[in-house]
Amino acid sequence: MDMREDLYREFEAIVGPRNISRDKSVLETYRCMASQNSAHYGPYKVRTPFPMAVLLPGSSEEVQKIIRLCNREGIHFKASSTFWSAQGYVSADNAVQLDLRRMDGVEIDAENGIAIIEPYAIAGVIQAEAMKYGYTCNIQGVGGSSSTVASTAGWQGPGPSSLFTGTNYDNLLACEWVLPNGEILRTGSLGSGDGWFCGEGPGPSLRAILRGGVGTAGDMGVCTKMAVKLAPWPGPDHLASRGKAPAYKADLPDNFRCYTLCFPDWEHWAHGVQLLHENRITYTSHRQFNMFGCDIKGAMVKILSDENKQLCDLPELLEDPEVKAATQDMHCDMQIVLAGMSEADLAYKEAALDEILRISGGHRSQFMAEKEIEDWALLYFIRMGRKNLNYVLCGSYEGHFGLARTNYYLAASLVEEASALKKHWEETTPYLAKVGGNSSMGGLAGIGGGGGVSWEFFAHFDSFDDASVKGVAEYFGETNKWMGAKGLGGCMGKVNEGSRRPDGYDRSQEELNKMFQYAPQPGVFTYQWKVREAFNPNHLTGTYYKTLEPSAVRTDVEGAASIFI
Amino acid sequence: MKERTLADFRPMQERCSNCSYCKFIPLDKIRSREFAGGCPSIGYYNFNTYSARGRFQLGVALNRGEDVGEKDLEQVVFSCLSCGACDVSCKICRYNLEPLAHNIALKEALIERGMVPGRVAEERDRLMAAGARAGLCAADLGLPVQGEVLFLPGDRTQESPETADTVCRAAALLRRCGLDIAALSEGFFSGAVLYDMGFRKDFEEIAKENIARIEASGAKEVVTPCADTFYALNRLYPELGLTVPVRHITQVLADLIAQGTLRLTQEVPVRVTYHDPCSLGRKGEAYEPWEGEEKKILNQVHTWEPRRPRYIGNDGVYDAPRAVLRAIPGLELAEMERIREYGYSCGEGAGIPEIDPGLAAFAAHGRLDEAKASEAEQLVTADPSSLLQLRSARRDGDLPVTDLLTLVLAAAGEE
Ligand SMILES: Cc1cc2nc3c(=O)[nH]c(=O)nc-3n(C[C@H](O)[C@H](O)[C@H](O)COP(=O)(O)OP(=O)(O)OC[C@H]3O[C@@H](n4cnc5c(N)ncnc54)[C@H](O)[C@@H]3O)c2cc1C
Ligand code: SF4
Ligand code: SF4
Repeated sequence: MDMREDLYREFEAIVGPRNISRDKSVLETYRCMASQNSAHYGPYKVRTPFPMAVLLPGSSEEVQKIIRLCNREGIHFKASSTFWSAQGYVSADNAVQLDLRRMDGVEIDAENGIAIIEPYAIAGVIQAEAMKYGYTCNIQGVGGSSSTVASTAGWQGPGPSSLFTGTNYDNLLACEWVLPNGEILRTGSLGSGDGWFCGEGPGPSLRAILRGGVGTAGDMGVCTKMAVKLAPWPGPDHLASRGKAPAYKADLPDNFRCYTLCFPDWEHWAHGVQLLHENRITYTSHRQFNMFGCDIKGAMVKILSDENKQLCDLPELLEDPEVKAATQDMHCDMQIVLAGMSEADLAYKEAALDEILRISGGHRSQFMAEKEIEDWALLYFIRMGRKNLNYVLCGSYEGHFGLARTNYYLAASLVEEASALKKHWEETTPYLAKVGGNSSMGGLAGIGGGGGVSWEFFAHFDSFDDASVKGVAEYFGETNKWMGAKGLGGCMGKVNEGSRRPDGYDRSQEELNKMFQYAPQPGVFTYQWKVREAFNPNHLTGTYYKTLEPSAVRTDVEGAASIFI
Repeated sequence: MKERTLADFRPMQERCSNCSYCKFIPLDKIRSREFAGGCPSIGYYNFNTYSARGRFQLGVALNRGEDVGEKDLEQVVFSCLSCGACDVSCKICRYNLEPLAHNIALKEALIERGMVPGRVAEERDRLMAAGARAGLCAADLGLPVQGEVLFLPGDRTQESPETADTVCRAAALLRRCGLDIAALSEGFFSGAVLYDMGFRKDFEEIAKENIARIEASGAKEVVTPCADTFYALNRLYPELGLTVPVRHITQVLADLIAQGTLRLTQEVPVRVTYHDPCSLGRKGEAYEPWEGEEKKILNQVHTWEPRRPRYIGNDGVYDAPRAVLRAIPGLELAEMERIREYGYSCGEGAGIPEIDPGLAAFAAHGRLDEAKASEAEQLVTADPSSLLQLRSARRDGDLPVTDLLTLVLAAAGEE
């Protein structure tokens, strides 16, 4: 949709002519291709709508002026920082896209152990800057190229180190936020002029409004600066790496270990993981390499840690007896990193791990302990700079099932059944990569009161191949039914379908009403409706922030919860 | 040369996952906020459009026959240095994407459609008018026309009398070290820049003429101080039939030093940092012939049949210049943050200094800032084009930019 000339000039006056564009070529590159990088939306062979213009604001004041103008003219807007998911793209025709790339500041307040960051500070940069002062940070599971502000404001934010570093929702301190109506809100200590150190006061908290439990996906305005908590880093001020591309290896002193822990079955696995959670000895804890698939993970580790290997080496490696045995050994596995704050600390952690493994019947994988593999994996987990490996097999993947935030015993009891469903599709259709069914992965994060794994299965498919895309979407229909039948809510592959229509546009309130009127706890959505009416009265963002008109709540149909996505 | 049309890139375009790695150096290598960027084009323009990701997305639209503008599209497509930083960063995780080849294919596709911005056309015309025989000849270099080693002085060496003089003296030094060095009776322009600008046919015309001259010279080896000439002869010409091997002058010097033939005895007490020219480094890897196709295994996993060369930058020339510098008595080498296969472009490449001077200066300033941050006293490079580009961009307070060859000549007592 074209923008009125006078309006374009007004926007241009705010950001300057270099920082606004309505060129067709520019607009084309601000559309999400849902089969390629959907992050739980699709997969569809559609692109999200064109924005009318793209703006690159350079300050909170500019963001504020843009949003005020949007409110005056009824123009939709969406801000994005790093754009690695469908959430960050506009979902209406009369919308402008804010790209926050020019706001990339990072300041480390070493005395308080916090970082004050702007939206385009990617996690990999924040970590590098923090390490100079003896700190590290939580890197959200999407990895080092993503914006920590976006994850903290807009999405969930757990990553492999969250048990140690805190999750982004734990780490949010004071923050500067331009609300959807254009007002600037300074939360926590910043709100009372006391600096960045605290999120809850003195001054307003409003954390639940700003991000809530899962993030507001850009629908609650634009966070322009925030402080996040850092965690101690017992390594050098720069994490050096050695070796050749792409198989770089960590070059660290001797106080770091990376292990793959193997258990004889899921029950033992759950026990071991519970003990890991309770004893807090790990720097990172993540079931990672199973994302490639339980039959091929050993071979994939061999390929990825050796610069001379490629995917064409898979068939040979899959026949290698050593790789086969190791892969089998790792069927019920978990990768962890131990970081010793001192020699004694490492000795303690090693001893505690020995004890955990003794109690739970687990052991360390010898295969993964080989020096070159261990150093490769250490770099992988500490820097989180290889997240694009999620896409390496076929060009695209989508997370599904999502036994999310479930207690590990529950997840463990269901994993083989879910795997069997996936394996059936792998073996009877050509749509998904055939990797043994089980491709469950996920981190051990600090869910209050007992911990949990957020188990996601990967469906690897070819975004270029229409049949593969369509087939996977059908498969998610099945997984969604399975989840519903188990009383687990919706499949995470479908999670954003409630937020956008399959054509990439916003849902109408009527559609949302239909979707949530039978929700098990409709109050969540009616509360959000009230919040939206108060903070975003002109409804100018999107429908990721899920709302239900109070008058639409229905309680008349029994068991209707399964309609809810 | 095997032709690859934009349509051939459709699978890559539609398998790019929007991870943004192509905007940065490999994430594992990031040391600071200031020097995390890898792509100068998005660094300068800031819109996603200018990254390799954006270029893939434009490619999708073009392949679908969609209207993605004209003037703006041309401006975006040709404002790419073809430096290959995106290529290395992408390939850290992806085995089936080739952003650099695609960036160049996009330029070719626009040229094919007659969508060539004025400045691009002017630069192409200027280069083509000078032709394959531009530059310094044997007489200029004071070299004979017959010899075992053919010395090719470089694509831009003649543009500065000082650079030309240094190159002549370096050639003389090699002769004194026993190399049977000769040069062509007329000048030599490799045409690599035309390839990087998307003028493949013009490049091939120049390359074929040059290959005939090199093969006819009877030389057993080519030596050059120029990064683009090295890239052309090591990576591009072999596909067109060149059989004579090439070495960069720093490789020759490193060997002579290691053998004890060249003795560097004079102190050069200076702390330097070294800039890896893209064409000598990641783009300079040797050509490996490959004929094959994509093969899916395990239903949907992409492989190439047979195994395909990856060109991820590991085998560029990085160690030789450093070995030469380290052999200079009194000289100290301090590294910058972005080096070797993930080095940052100096802004010279794909004709950008002429086509888009603002972008060229932005890249050069990024490099000069990084050099200063390394706490070196001088920024050294081993390529006349990079040298000229960095020097032309220097601002007050930037480090002096030095030719590696002048340091070697000084250390060899040739001043
Ligand atoms: C491969 C992959 C793996 C993933 N793994 C995980 C995981 O392990 N853990 C996890 O939590 N998530 C995960 N996700 C989802 C992911 O967290 C989010 O997509 C990510 O945190 C944000 O990165 P982005 O580049 O998409 O950010 P963006 O595109 O910048 O934005 C993400 C959302 O935040 C909003 N937003 C951006 N900037 C701001 C701002 N300044 N103020 C307010 N809102 C803003 C956007 O509108 C958008 O809705 C994954 C996604 C992918 C693609
Ligand atoms: S080109 Fe490569 S690095 Fe860039 S976004 Fe696409 S997949 Fe990622
Ligand atoms: S080749 Fe260089 S300038 Fe061009 S997109 Fe890649 S990194 Fe950017």
